Amino acid sequence: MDKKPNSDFTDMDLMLYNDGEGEHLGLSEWTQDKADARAKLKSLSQIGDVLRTAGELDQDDHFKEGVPSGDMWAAISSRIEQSKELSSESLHSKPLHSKHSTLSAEQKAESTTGVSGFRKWFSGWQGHLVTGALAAGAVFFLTRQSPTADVEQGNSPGVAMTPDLKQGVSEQKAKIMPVAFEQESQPPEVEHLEVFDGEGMVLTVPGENGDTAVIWVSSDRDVEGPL
Amino acid sequence: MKKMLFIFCAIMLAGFRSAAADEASCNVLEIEATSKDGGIDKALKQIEGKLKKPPFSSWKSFKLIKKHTPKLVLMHPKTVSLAKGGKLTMLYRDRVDAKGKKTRLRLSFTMDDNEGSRQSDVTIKLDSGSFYMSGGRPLKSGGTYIFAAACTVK
Repeated sequence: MDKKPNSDFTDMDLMLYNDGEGEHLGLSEWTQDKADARAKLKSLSQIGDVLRTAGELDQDDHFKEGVPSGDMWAAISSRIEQSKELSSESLHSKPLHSKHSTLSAEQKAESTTGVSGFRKWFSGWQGHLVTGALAAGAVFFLTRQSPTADVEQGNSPGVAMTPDLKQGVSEQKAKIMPVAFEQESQPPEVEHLEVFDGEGMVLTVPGENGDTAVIWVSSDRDVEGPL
Repeated sequence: MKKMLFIFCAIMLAGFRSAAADEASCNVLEIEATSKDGGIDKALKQIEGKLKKPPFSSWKSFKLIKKHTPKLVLMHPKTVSLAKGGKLTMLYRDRVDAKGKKTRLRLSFTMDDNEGSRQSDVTIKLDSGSFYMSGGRPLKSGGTYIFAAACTVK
């Protein structure tokens, strides 16, 4: 910063001067003739006031929340740095008191502060998150405790699904087992029997799938051979 | 046009359903039973349990001579030529479908010898898939002739 007096000064020089570091450059005389430069200096002064006020408010909030002072100052300094950068940018292009730029700075500051940013976000959504977790837990508990029907598909037609009561009530789980429709079997009925050259006798042979009718023929023929 | 096509399809389906209901698939097994050791032929597995009970338990071996699988159409007699001569005429007369009970078939079995003489005439009502068995006539080989028949409807 070895600029000669009355030479053209940049915005950075004005910021340094505003911070009390550019006195030796002769900026005070230079600004006498420059209304624009004076306006910038005034704006810089106002921004500084805003940042200091915001820092103090933030500090108060952190003390209320019991955040360790180390984290608090790190967060504040980060925000101040971000704000300074935005302020310097806005000096060139945007109005100094743009709401948009202020919000962006806060968002950026929050994103850079990691754990503290998460804590702040969590404090805002704490109630909703706790309620959701409790509801999910209740649903899971009820699902595990309520009777569940494990349906096993029958492979063949004519199969019904019926609860297997052998499982017992204590298990609180109704298992569905396939049971075939039992169609009643009827014994065979011989309506008409006529045997030529011999005698016929009707017998019934019991079986698992119903009885079987048997007609036993006693042949009178001397000649062997059935037919 | 669509309505006509629908009616045509319905008629065709009804006809197909009716045709399926009027047809019975049968199994006829010709068996030779002897007193020699030999056990029950593996081909007779479906009636193995019955062959171990009286009156069939008097024999020690059962051998399948021939198997027939005729399809019977309602009130259309079907004749099957038997392996040992003669013929068996089967007639699917009727069916009864009662709720909770197996379908009941009314069948006739007429047996003639190789000279055309009538040997037996039986009309029987039995469940669909159940066997009807007949036997007792001696064979020239010394064995006893048995035949078993079962018919199934859809």
